[in-house]
Amino acid sequence: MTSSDNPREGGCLCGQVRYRTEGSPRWVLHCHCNSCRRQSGAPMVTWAGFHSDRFTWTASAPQTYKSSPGVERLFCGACGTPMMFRSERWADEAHIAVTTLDDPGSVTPKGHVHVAEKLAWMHLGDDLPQHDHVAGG
Amino acid sequence: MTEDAIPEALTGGCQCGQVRFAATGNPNWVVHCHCSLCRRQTSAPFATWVSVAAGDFAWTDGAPKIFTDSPDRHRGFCAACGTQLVGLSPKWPEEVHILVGALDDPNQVTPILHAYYGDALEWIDTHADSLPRYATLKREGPPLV
Repeated sequence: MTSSDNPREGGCLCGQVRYRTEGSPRWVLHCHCNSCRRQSGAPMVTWAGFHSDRFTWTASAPQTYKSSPGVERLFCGACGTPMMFRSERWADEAHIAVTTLDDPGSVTPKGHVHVAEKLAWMHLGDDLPQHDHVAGG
Repeated sequence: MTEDAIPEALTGGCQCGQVRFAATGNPNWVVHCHCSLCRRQTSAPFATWVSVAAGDFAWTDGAPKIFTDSPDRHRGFCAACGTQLVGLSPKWPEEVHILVGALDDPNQVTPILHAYYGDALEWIDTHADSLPRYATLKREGPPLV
């Protein structure tokens, strides 16, 4: 199953922060890094990378936290839902937490990144490629 | 380690350091949950919770912002950096459920099962960890085969 080009919408739990994306994501990956894990609370976070031009906030804007140099993590200030990761390293992309999509099943993860930071009790049994750090170097 | 060894305290907190906690004693349980509320609190495919006795838990710096996401469920997070920290409920007033990612060392604990696996996202498969998977809760039926 591939990720379709149809527009997608999503948002936080309380509904204050909503967004819309156009076209298919550039990539969909599970991240095991310590930063994503700390922000989320979960052992890994699944992200979809969209071109920034294909992403729009459609209701209230999220709150921004500068988590490390050149990196911003966006979340709903009312309910705390983690929403987006933005980085100078991928300046033309918006990385969206897949479970904030109204239909998370509309995208398909294709790999694991930052596996070097994976928790000891996380056993990856799928056939997806695993990258110690980022995909593609 | 001897049988009466004092368990290490679980410490943790948010990304920015404004909200910190510590829990002593042994956790009640450590469980993965795939339900939609847990997935939405963490924005992740599933959450992993560490249940500790409320009497063993304390905020050591700051305090979380609380958002009630259903009548009997409250999520605690840092208002400054958005870090998700705990789940609280009048249904289990004697417990604090800590999100494993909030711990300074998540490898200090070991999950024992998957709950609400019946709600799991279609592209998640946890068979590799050999843990029992329950459609809802362990007390509500046998594990899935």
